[in-house]
Amino acid sequence: MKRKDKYRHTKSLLPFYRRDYFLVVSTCVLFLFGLLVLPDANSEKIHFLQLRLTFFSVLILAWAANILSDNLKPIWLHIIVTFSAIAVFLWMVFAYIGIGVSDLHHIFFNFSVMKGQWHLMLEGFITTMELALISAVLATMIGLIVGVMRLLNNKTLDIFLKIYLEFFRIMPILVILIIVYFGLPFLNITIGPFASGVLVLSLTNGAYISEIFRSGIASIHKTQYEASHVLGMSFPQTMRLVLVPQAFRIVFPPLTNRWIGILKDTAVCSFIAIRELLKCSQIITTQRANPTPLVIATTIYLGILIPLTIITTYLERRYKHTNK
Amino acid sequence: MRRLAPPWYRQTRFYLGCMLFLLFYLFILLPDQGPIDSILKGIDVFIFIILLISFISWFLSDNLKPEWIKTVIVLIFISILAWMFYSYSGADWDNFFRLFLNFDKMKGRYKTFLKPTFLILKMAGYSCIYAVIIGAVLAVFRSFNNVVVNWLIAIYITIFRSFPAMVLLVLIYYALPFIGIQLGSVQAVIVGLSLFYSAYTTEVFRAGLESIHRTQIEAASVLGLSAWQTMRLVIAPQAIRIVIPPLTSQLIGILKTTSISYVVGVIDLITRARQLQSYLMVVTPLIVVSLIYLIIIVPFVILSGYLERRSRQWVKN
Repeated sequence: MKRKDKYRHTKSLLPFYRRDYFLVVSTCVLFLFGLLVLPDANSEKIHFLQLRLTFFSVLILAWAANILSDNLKPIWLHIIVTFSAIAVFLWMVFAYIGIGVSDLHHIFFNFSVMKGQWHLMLEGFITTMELALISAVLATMIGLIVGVMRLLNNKTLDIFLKIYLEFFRIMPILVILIIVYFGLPFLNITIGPFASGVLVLSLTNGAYISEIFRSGIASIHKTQYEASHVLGMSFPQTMRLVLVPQAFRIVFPPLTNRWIGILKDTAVCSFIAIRELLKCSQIITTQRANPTPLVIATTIYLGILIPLTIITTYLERRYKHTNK
Repeated sequence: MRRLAPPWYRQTRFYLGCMLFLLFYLFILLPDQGPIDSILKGIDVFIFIILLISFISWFLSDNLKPEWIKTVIVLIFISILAWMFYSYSGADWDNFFRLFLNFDKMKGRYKTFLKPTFLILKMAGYSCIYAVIIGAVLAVFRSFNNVVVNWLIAIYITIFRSFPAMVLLVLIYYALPFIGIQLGSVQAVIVGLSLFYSAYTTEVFRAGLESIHRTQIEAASVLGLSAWQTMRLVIAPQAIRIVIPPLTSQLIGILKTTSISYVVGVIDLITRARQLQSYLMVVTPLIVVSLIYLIIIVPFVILSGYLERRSRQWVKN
């Protein structure tokens, strides 16, 4: 039986906003409103522009939500509604904010400005990756040590460790960075820009990672250890066969998330004259007065980060069920 | 009943031997005071710290030892670490109070921080509101389970979750003017942060909506509640309890991220502090900025911890 026929007898019970004539009427009303409310984009002075645009957007959203939430309507109608709503929004952006589409290609993908500058871009890319990798390794080490020390449940030690954790979790990374890079030289401790970047990134993210390790290891019940001991397993066997596989499932997804976070945080280090990807692209952009380097840098960042994000989301979803 | 003797690595003489070795290391093998300038010296100090940490962990994992001995050992451990930092960092600590905590020089200059502080709060507030609105709308559209809409929203979320916030701000402020979108620096920060955080708030709202089972809505309609009543009496009270704690932690994130707004030329706390620092030749402005951030963020951290505990309790019941 077709979907439509199955529900034919229920049609008379539908509320007014689910009926077909309401669809037609609301579309017409929306169209009329668009003509009345939206001002002429080319006119000089427009009263209440933001208010009118917001009002119209809310109407469009309500119209789309009303149709999309109706499961009885055919799927092609949903698709048409989705794309027409998006088209209207895009049109509004183009018309009222004023994007000149004509030389988009010439501005954003003008690779001729990059001539002779590729090596700078490469240098920036390598610096970013170095910074991220070294910080990730150090942060994981710090996190493991601090997390294990938190598990010892000593109150005195916990006080000191908690001060460390809370301080680095509350402070914005940039504030710590400027205190380390611009403040410590006053005390005659001079750390190079790269080293202070690594120091701050690993300390800050180590605080987060220690919490991940702590909760991961603490979630394995003590009885499992005792049970494997009773079964006659040696300590390495217990670790290899019982504890690590379980802890890994709990720890790994948030840990990869943090590693991605480290890679994102490296962009902040451009403040202290580390020539990493963002800084290099900014240098070329100001030199050539063209945003192509920025677009290239963004593409590189997203090219690395989007696959990693997708993998992490997948891991999270996969291990969520096994943990329960 | 005779108590079993502990294994050799839990006996007092083993601990005493370890401590003696560490003392020997501390006084004989460690290099002289002064900055660590050679790799050999660095390795020396590093090995000592590793030994110290492993000893302390080993000792603390012994359940039979009384608590007061553990406390004493921990205090000794912390003081040794502090002493090592004091002696090997190569800093002249005599100037510490004059340079870092010199609040006399700051007298009468605190009002320069007033405007940037309000600016930060304003930017964070606007971004939070916009992020919540965008997130709520997208989550509602996602709950319709329409394939096309879900795909589009998933693409949006993935892109903005993988953007570094800084790159997004730079792109908005420096690249968009080339196609005619002129945004002021404060506006650029607000737009960037709300786009960036809307990806996260969408996920938060989706989790909140998904946590309410379909049957509850059906039950409500059977009981004769209208759509609005269902929303007000059934869905919202439950969803809000689940959504509020993660939303507060997103707000903390937004507050922290406003610190990078210097990149688009907003005159924020850090810019002001750097100016004052180079003018007064002391580090105190930077310390003041970190204190301001602490004062702003700590209440939210406490609040979010409290809310999380409460919601966990509520979910349990």
